Amino acid sequence: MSLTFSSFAGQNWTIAPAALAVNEAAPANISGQKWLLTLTGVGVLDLQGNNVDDWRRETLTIFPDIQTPLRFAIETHGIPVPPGITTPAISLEQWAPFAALSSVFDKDSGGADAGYAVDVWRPTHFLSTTDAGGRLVQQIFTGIDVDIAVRNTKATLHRVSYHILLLGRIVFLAASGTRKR
Amino acid sequence: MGILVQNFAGQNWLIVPAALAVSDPRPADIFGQKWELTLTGVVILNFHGFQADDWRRDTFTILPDVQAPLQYAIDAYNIPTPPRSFTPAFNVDQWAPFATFSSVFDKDSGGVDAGFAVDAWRPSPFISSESGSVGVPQVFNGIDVDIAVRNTKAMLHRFSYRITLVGSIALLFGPG
Repeated sequence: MSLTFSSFAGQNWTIAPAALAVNEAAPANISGQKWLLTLTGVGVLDLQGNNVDDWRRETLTIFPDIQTPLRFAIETHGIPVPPGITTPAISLEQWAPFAALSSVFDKDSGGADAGYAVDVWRPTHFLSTTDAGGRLVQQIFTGIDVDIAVRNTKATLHRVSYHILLLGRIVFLAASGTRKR
Repeated sequence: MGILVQNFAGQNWLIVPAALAVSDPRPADIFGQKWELTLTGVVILNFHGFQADDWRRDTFTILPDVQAPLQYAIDAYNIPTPPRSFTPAFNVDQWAPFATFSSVFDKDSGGVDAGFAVDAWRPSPFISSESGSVGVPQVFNGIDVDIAVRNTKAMLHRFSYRITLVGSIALLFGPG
């Protein structure tokens, strides 16, 4: 089971329409528009090592607030919202996550080993589900998984930062009928 | 505002017109164009801890060179400029900064505490100005980054940044 932040120290975003290539047909309407969504921030983790002479390895799932930027785009660009209770989401075509150590602390280690690591990252398993119109929508963004590690019992990884760049379409999920791929 | 960073190890930028959504009207002229501006780089701080058993905390302001990319866009896209003296500025609609430590060093701490942190960031307070009679309410003025170092032998030499901005180019006249 992966870890999550206890809180976010800060979150930022930008969302803008993706440009068309010169030979690319424009979407038939705003619902087909592709968007570039950038998410950045710092999260509080406070993960302490639990092995004197080895690494403690965990996976951290980061799922920033995407509702705010998606609703901003929906309102700014007049994207029609289906009737009923729906949740906006982004169906991805491309993704480029990034994560880094942002606060580390080695308490009175007495000269023992200490280490901190962001080993690798990847998107969290995408969601495959139906949208509010009953159509199949795939590759719904649900965050990123970051493999982190801390070495020695006196070392703490307090914070992790992220920069996530996404390209995809805005979809509206129905209130029920979800399933994981 | 924090302590203004003066020393850059390197700076890069990229500026492109922001795409229109399929439902967006085209701007009436180039002054209505939205731009995506990306600023990256590494700054040199050499921020030394000065407390053996506690964090030294400070806020640093990074104000990368925005004149070079804005002047590039003005030249490359033939943005008309007035004969009088002006300063290009970036009026921000959206922002997504990022910063992380880039070089840290703990010198022979002998087993005492040591730590390094980029705790948080945010845009520096925007400048409100005007271009002719048009208000320019959110002029980009850098980002503030909260940094901390723990123990007197710990040094945060460098940190790096990547700032993504969406906004418009404004020509400011006179002071400000």
